[in-house]
Amino acid sequence: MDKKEFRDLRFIMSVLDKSRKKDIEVPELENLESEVLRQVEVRELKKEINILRRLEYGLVIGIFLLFVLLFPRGMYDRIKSSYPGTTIASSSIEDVIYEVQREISSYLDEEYELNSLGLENMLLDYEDTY
Amino acid sequence: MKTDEELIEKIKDGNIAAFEEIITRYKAKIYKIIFSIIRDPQDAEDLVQEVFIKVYNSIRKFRGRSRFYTWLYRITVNVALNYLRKNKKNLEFIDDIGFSLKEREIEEHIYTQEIVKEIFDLANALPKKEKLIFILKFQNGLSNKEISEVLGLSRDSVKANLYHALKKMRKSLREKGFLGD
Repeated sequence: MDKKEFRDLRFIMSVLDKSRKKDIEVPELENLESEVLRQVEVRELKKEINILRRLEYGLVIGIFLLFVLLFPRGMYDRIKSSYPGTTIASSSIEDVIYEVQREISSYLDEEYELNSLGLENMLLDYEDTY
Repeated sequence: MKTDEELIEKIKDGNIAAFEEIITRYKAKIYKIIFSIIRDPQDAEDLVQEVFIKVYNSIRKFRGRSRFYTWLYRITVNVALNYLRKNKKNLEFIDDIGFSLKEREIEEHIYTQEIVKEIFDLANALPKKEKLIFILKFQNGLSNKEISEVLGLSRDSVKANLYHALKKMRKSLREKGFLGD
């Protein structure tokens, strides 16, 4: 850097320094400390609430899983025999299945009877003919 | 008066009063840095709050490898630059050259409003990185070392950027006949 360049750059820098002299007015920012602390507190609380909420979800899911895993059929049967007449959703389903099976078999029986009657008539016709 | 480092240790232990002291110590400086970057007084106040909330939330990550205030200024610059990005605003070296030089200054240096305006216009036309270095150096009075810590650059890189920008401005001023022999 030669002497002239050094002089020019120093001049430019001295002008740029003037921008600092145009002092930035800082407002009072009076309640800044309390406002920041309040917001920090609010955020901490929100974090805690979120953690609690997650724990709550976890607990509900955990209880549900426990119920599913620790409620074997034997226990269901025991409850059913201990409290006869108690209608539990699964027993109603069983009843429905049983009813449907009964309906189907009675329908099949009727069909069989009809078919066998038809066959008998055919045999009788045959015998009459020959 | 307690040092920054002593206060930081106390904040890490959950001492709120120490944090309040840090806010009181730095709020004006932080405001100035933010204002010099975003140029909006109302939003600057909100961003000062944001900076201190960020500081509180990440104070445990501060390992003391750099000085506390350069770490704080780095957060400040990031918050201000994020604001510009979100609001699609440009970084300006200075938005208004509405100040006049005193007579004494004119006598000491051969300033004219014209040349001052030209230099600030050239500073505003610099690339973003150079402009940011200019803002931190000339408007906030940070040293090259401090700028390098705040922006995460080497000190040589800061020096080179500064020198390169000043040379560009000098060339332009010479071409326009603002600088004599």
